[in-house]
Amino acid sequence: MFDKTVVLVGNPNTGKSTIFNTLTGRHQHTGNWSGKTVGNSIGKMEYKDVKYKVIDLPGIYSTNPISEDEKNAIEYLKNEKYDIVVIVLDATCLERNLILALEVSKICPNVVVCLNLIDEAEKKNIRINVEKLSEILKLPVIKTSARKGIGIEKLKEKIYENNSTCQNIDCSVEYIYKSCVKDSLNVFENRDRKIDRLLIGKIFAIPSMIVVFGVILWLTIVGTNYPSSFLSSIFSSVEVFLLEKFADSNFLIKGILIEGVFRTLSWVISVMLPPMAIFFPLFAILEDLGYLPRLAFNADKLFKKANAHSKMVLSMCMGFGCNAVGVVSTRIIESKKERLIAILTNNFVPCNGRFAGLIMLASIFVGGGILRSFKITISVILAIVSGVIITLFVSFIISKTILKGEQSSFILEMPPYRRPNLKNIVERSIRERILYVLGRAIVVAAPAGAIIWLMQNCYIGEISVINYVANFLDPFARLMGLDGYILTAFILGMPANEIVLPIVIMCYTQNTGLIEFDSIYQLGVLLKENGWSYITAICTMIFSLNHFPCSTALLTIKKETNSWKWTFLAFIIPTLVGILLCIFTNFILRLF
Amino acid sequence: MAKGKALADLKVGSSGKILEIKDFKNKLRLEELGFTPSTKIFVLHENIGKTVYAYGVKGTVIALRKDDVKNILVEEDKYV
Repeated sequence: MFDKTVVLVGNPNTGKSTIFNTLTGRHQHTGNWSGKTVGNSIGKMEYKDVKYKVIDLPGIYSTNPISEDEKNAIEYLKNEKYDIVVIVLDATCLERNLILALEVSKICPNVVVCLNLIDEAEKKNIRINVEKLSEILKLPVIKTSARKGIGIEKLKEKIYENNSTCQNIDCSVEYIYKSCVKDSLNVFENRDRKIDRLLIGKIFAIPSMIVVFGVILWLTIVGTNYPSSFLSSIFSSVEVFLLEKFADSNFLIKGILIEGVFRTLSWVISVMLPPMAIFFPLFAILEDLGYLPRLAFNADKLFKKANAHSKMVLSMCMGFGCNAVGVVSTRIIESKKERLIAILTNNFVPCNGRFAGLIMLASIFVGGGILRSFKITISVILAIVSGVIITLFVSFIISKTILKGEQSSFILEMPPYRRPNLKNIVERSIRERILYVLGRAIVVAAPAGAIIWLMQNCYIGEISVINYVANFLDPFARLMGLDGYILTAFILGMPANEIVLPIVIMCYTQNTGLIEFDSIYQLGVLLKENGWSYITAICTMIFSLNHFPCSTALLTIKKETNSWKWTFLAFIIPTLVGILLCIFTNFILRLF
Repeated sequence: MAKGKALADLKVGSSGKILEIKDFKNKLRLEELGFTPSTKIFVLHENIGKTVYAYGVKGTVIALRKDDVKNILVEEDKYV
């Protein structure tokens, strides 16, 4: 199928995945931090008459691995068959990058050196004599800027004509650097250091963290309302039309398809999709800027005290998008014990699907006034902060009980700040949020809608199945400040968190039938009519933050840990925390 | 030659030259990251709680725990 195999290797965060994407036309995730790529990705490229298989490896510093993602890359490099190696070097810190280049060119023939990020280097007044470098390394060297598409054709050409042998270069890195590079960088006074003084300096670190997250959340909350009511009004008019058209048809069409499947789909899309689609690109901007590793830097003391690894901050950030992704991204944590802690606690960070629910609930139950959107923002921030506190607390307990051991060290590269690639972010958000959620809506929410309808319309004696289940769970749920339907929804929503709230709404509307809502206010009326108080809302938010991971996340945990024991613990720990916290909160709030 | 000082004792804003890295578990990794003898090193930032410092080395910025940088000996630059 393929004529030749090309492997991309290099230090972390040198732009390998961006090169990979431009070579293959694929859409591999990219982000401005070390360790974004944790597994090998494969793509194809055609150049002239040759079909290439292109492989993107996780970043490595040397051929001695210490973390799981590095092991992947190095084992591949040492054991697999390939024809051409492209070493991707970061032109802005060539000296450090050359260490790996020398190591790799010793063990691999057919190496092409790709001097990436050349545009950034030029901006920083770093001048590189490419001919000289090529002469010393005895390898072809190509200047590229993958983001701007500079040098890609030349790179393809060199890959095509390549035929170098293993090179044992007997020069020190310092010598090579000095003979090829002229830089005039002021280490203490440059743009990045000025930004860092604001974002990680002792005085401004915490305020700036609050401002950054506050602005993102506020934009999400304010922006959600309009598309949400717009979508909802479209869906309800379509439903009215469908119900009229099929008024006389059998239960299969009218019941399961329209009242079950269609209605659930419309709730998922109109209520859950907008906040997800707004938050995701905003967060991606932070990731592209290079802010995420700075969060780990800021929070190190807290995580150190909790006996957890500060790189967990990065997997938690990925958890905001999706906990399954968060779990996979823990591969960057070198110590096995600390990686397990990160996996077991990842679910305390609300994923996109739960996050949207938190925003909706906060929007409904936080009072009005001009400052409404600010109050909502503050309550969602409080929810996230409580998730972080629980993460730290649970990590501490786990590290003192089931996962005892030495704390490992913390070594993290702080990337330069980069301008986010907005086009890329928009494309990625459409593909990975909007299309993904729509896809999940069809795969998960549609069958769930059918099941709910059947449960509502099949009877055990006098009572419908859903009421039967809800009534059964009700006493326990009341203890937790919820009701039977909410708890049922959490259980039925296990395949995907974004269907939990829609299932609750479906249960409440089973008797009244269709409700059309053109503002979040009406949704609040529905919930209040069904006995919700602010205590119900708070307890639902708590249980949403702290309950079993969705089935996708659980399967990922099983795959990553290769153990049912840890998968079970990842299920039971957040669930127990959630139950206890709900009971406690419910008890305390009822005293007032 | 002046006797080495532990990198952990350098204040933010100061710089120096690495003399040697004592043998400890992260020695190899630090060398791969560019912490090699005679390399210039700059102390750029410290975090809240002073558990981690950001160092400028070979054109990159690396954050290290204070516990680890005790093992790096440097000769501090003197500005007169």
